Order: sequence, then structure tokens, then C-alpha cells
Amino acid sequence: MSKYLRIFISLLKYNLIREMEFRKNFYLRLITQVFFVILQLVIVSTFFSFTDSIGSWTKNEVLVLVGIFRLIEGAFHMFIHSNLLYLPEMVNSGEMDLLLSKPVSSLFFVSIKQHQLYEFSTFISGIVILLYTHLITGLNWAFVAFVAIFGFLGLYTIMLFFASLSFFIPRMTALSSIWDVISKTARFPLDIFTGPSRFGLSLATPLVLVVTLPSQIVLGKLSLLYLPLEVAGVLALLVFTHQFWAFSLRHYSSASS
Amino acid sequence: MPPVIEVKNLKKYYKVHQKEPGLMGSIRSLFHRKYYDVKAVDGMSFEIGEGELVGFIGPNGAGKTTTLKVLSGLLYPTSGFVSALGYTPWDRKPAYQKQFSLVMGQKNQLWWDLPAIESFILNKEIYEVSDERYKTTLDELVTLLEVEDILKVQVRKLSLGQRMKMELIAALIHSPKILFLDEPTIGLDVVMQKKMRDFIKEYNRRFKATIILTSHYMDDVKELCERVIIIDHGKLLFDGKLDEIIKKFANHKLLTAVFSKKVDREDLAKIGEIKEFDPPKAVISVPRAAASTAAAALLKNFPVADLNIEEAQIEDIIREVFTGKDLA
Repeated sequence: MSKYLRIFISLLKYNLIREMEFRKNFYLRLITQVFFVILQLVIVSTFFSFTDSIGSWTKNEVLVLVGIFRLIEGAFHMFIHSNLLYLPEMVNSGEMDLLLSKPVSSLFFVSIKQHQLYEFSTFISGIVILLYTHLITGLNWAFVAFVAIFGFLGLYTIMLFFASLSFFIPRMTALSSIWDVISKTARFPLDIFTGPSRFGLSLATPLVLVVTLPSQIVLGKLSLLYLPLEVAGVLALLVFTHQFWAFSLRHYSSASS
Repeated sequence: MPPVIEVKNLKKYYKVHQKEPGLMGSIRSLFHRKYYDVKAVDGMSFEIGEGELVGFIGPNGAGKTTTLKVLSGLLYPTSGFVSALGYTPWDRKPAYQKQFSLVMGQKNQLWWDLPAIESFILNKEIYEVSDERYKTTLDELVTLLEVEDILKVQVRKLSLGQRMKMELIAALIHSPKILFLDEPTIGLDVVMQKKMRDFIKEYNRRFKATIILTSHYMDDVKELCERVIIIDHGKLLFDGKLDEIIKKFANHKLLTAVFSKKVDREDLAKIGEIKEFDPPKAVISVPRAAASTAAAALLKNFPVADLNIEEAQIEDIIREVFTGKDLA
């Protein structure tokens, strides 16, 4: 078993122990998640009670997109989200010190140290939504899993880029707002917008790689030829953000003791 | 034998922005900022051999911790050459990282909500320590630090002293050849400070580990370090044996006299500078070269029941080196 897999398993175990230690909090957050999912489904159903389609998207297609996004968002929240949001604090307080002195990829450790395992409910809700749409139109699950993994990596790289800015911007409290904008924008099919809003969203092109493009490929709305574009786009973002992380570390000034 | 750590003309400057006071100053700084360089380390050079236990001393902001952070590879220096075990620290090569450890008294690496043993296991995986070696090392450290009974207690339920012991075990589980200890006894009570010092001394003796220690407690340095490096304003002021500090910096001695009858303070001041006057005892500081003459004058002109001629306290010497005052 590789070193990184062993570390990941240890971290998973510790986080599980920790979550169970505070079980009331665990249950409360779980219940909040269930309500949140129900609310999202109600909103989609309400929209489509007035119209058969939004742009080129039918209700069932939007549900596939929502389902895939829930998978990605669930996995992201479980393993990555709280860590990246905490990065500015780590940089400001000098908490990175001990981590950087260890023989382990700092990027790996910073990204996955803390887990929010109750977010598993978000992931499961994505599966439930996709199962429902599968009964209506049929889905290629291996294909869904493949594009969801790349969508997840796309989301990770975009957030990592912004989190890395905390090495240059002291007290980067804007990171949680940035996450709000990203997650709220990425969850919509970005091709439904027209006019100036579409132009505005074109600035956020990498977000297309998170869920719009994967969903369009899975639904056959776009040719399979777009799949290499998705893969290449995400890999390019991965290389870029990895390099940017290394560059950012050179600017780490630690906190004075 | 080549040195384990070699530092040549090390410089680390930080760019810091200067803000004028008040709201207007803050508004102005939104549009236009003035920057200046803070010279945290300014041309430092030294070498440290295998198994040495060296104390870094200096006031706050002297550059001690910055130097340790460069040696640990956390910070990129502005310029200069550093080699530790043949590696350039800021290359952050795992081969180097596996051979040193950094312990910071004010920062912790243990998982707060879990027993410390879980953090040890995680470090075992990170440092790729074999099961057998892990067990042997852990047993040895646990015995040395006497923490058998608290290994499975959540870290947040431990006292500061117990937590510091656990931090040390976590840092030593991979048996590092170099140990950077930044204020390891900070905040501990005197009993726990003593235990920590005993442990550090024993660890150095038993494992031949090279140790650099920074501390504000002179007792740490006096008890542990034969060699000290004094740093101030990023520059090295002194590098040598502890007792050489006295020869180099103390140009006064202290005469401690106990009198059999009442003496006049003004008369006593003719002998030297009175540091303490608490009849029947008085402490007088006199120039080093004139110590014996002053002692003779004291014996001749005053009813002396007891007299001691002493070197100035190392704490006082160092404090006055930093404040730039005359010594003793």
C-alpha cells in the first residue's frame, strides 16, 4: 500500500473518530443536509411547473446536472472544502510551519487533512437524483463516474487557485465568498444564459468544466469529441495550479513567533 | 569530520509596509503604500558539528526563530549559503526532512480531539518508519518521558506539560539526526522545565543528535548548552562556550559583603557601584581589573564579616549586551 494511501486512511479514521465524538453536531448537520436537498428538488420542480424547458434543458436533463453536481459537491465538501477555506488561517497563523517541515506533499496534506464526513448525505442525494433520472432516460453510470471525477478535479483546481492567493493576500477573508460565487454559478447549466450575463459568465470559463460540460456529454447534448476537451482542460488546470502552489510556497513568510 | 550544519552569510529580509497612524493613514495606505525591509537575519555565519547542543539566545525579534525556519526549509533566504546534512534545506527534499525535526513551543502538531498515540501513528506513516522501529522508539521515548498512562488520553484533556512531552514524542518518532527546538519550555512550570531539560540532555547523549535550542529561559541554556550563539538584530554577536561570554562581555565583578556593624551607604559607594544594599548585606560592582584592590579597601575600611568576589550573573551580562549598557 502506498504511503499516501496509508496516510489518507489514517486521516479518514481520525476524522471519523472525531465526528463521532461530537455526535449531536453530526446528526444536526446531517438533518440540515437532508432539508437542503429537498429544497433544491422543490425549486427545480417549481421552475419546470411553468415551462417544459429552460434554454435547451428539460427538467430531466437539469436533474441529471443537479445530480452530478451533488456528487461533485458532496465529495468536495467531504474531503477538500473546509481545508481550502482554512488555508488563509494556516498561512496567517504560521500553522503551515510544522507541515512544511515534513516529508509529505504539503499540497496533499493541506487539501485533505480535515474531513466533513456528514457531507456524505450530499453525495448520496446526488445518487438518488441520478437513480430517479436513470429510471426515466437511462444513464451510463461508468460514464457519469468518469465525468464526475473530472468535474471534481476541475472544482478542486479552481478553488485551490483562489486559496493559494492567501500566500500573497494577508487576511484573505474573501475566500468563502469566492466559494459561494463558484458553487452557486457552477450548479447551473451555463449555456442557458444569454446577452450580457453570458458574456460575464464567459469570464468564468473554467467553471464550465465542473458540471455543465460533463452533464452535456453524459446526456448526449454534446458530441463525445468534447470529452477529450474536458479531460485536457482539467489536466491543464491541475498542472497550472500545482505550479502556482509551488510558486506560492516560495512566498510563505510564516508568522513571527 | 565535516560540520552537520554550515551557514555562510545568511540573510533573510522581509518587505513590510509602513502605515501612518489613524483612519486617514489607513485610507492613504489603500492607494499608496510605503515599504521597507526588515532585516530578520543579516549576514549570519556559523558551523555546527555532529552531536553538538547549541543554544541560540537573543531578545524577541533577534532572528533566532527565522534562522531555525531557514534551517528547516520553511523559509527561502534572501541570500547566503546553508547546508544541513549536505542538503539545501529550502529544496525540501524528503531525504533531508526525514532526518530532522522541528519542535515549536508555541505551535502544536497533535490532533486536539484524539489521543496523542494517533498522531504518533500518523507521523509513523508520514516518515515511513517500520513497525519494529516505531515500537522500539516509542517504548524508549515513553519510558524516558514517563507518559505510559496518558498515551490514550485525548490531547485536549492533557496539561500543557503533558502535551509538550507528547509533542516531543511526535517529533522524535522518526529518530531525527537534527533537532530544532524553538522555545520548548515556554509556559511550563519550573518542575516541568527541569524534566524537559533532563530529557533533552539525555536524548542528546543517548542518540548523538545535533540539537539547536532557542529559549528565553537562561536556565535552559545554562544547563544544556556548552556552546551558545548570541544573536541580535539579525547579526551574530558571539559564538563560543558559555563561560567565554563572561570573559568577553563582563568587564566588572561583584563583591558581596556581609557586615558585622552598621555601615554608611555613601561611604560604601566610594568602593564601587552599589547594586544591592540590604543591611547587613551589600553587593557592589567594581571594574574587573580593580576587583582585588577594591576588596582590600573594603576589608580595610569596613567591618566585613564575610566577603565573596563573583563573576556577574550570565543573565545580567546577556541582558546588558542586548541593551548596550555597561556590564556587571
